[in-house]
Amino acid sequence: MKEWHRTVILVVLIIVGVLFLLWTHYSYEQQFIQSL
Amino acid sequence: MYLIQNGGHAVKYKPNIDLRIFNNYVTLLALGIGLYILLAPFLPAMRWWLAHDAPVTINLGPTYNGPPATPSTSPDVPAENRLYIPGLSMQQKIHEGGIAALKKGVLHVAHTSTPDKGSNTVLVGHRFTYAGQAVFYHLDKVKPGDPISLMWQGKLYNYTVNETKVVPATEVSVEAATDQPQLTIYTCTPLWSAKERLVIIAKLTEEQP
Repeated sequence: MKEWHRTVILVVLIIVGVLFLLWTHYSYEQQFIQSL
Repeated sequence: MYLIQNGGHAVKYKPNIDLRIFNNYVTLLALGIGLYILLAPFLPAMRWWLAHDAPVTINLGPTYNGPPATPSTSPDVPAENRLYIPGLSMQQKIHEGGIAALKKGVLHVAHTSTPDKGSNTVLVGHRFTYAGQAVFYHLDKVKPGDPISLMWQGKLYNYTVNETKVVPATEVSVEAATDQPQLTIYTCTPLWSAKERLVIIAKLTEEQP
């Protein structure tokens, strides 16, 4: 595997991870505040 | 430098050292994010195992292990309103304001009463969230008969848990006004989900100036 392939894979993984965190946080928060 | 056999010919290959070093750092970052995603939902549970029997101290006086707390006229009266749940070794500042204040911790629902006015005082907080405080992660461990105290504008209000229940997320009647002074605390349930609400209802047992 070329080094830049590894870079792309890592960056994609990080982006997916951050998006997952944002999605879980905001979907949970939206569900919760609907009852407030 | 690496020496690679390519079709019988020796080829000199110079790796991109800078990119490799960069990738090593990015790998650490990716591992850190991955570990946080995996472990963060369990961190409050780990803290519970380590320190769930720590005593709760009310700033008015001595160490507090349950009602009734002994008040004093100490100048250390906290300026902010606070919630104390000794059974969870928990004390939290109570925030006022809109939904954004939920991120800070325990939120007093603005359209409900306050302890000094009687009726139904409602507090809410997150059970778990990646961003913000999971203040009520262990709220399911509160049982009927457990003491809860509120420090509200310099006065201590002691409550005893009367009822715990799970209601649908659409059940807004838990915020309705009541004839008797009571404290209602609710959060999401089951854990890691906002599907339903875990509701704790506590009746006022003592009010100390």
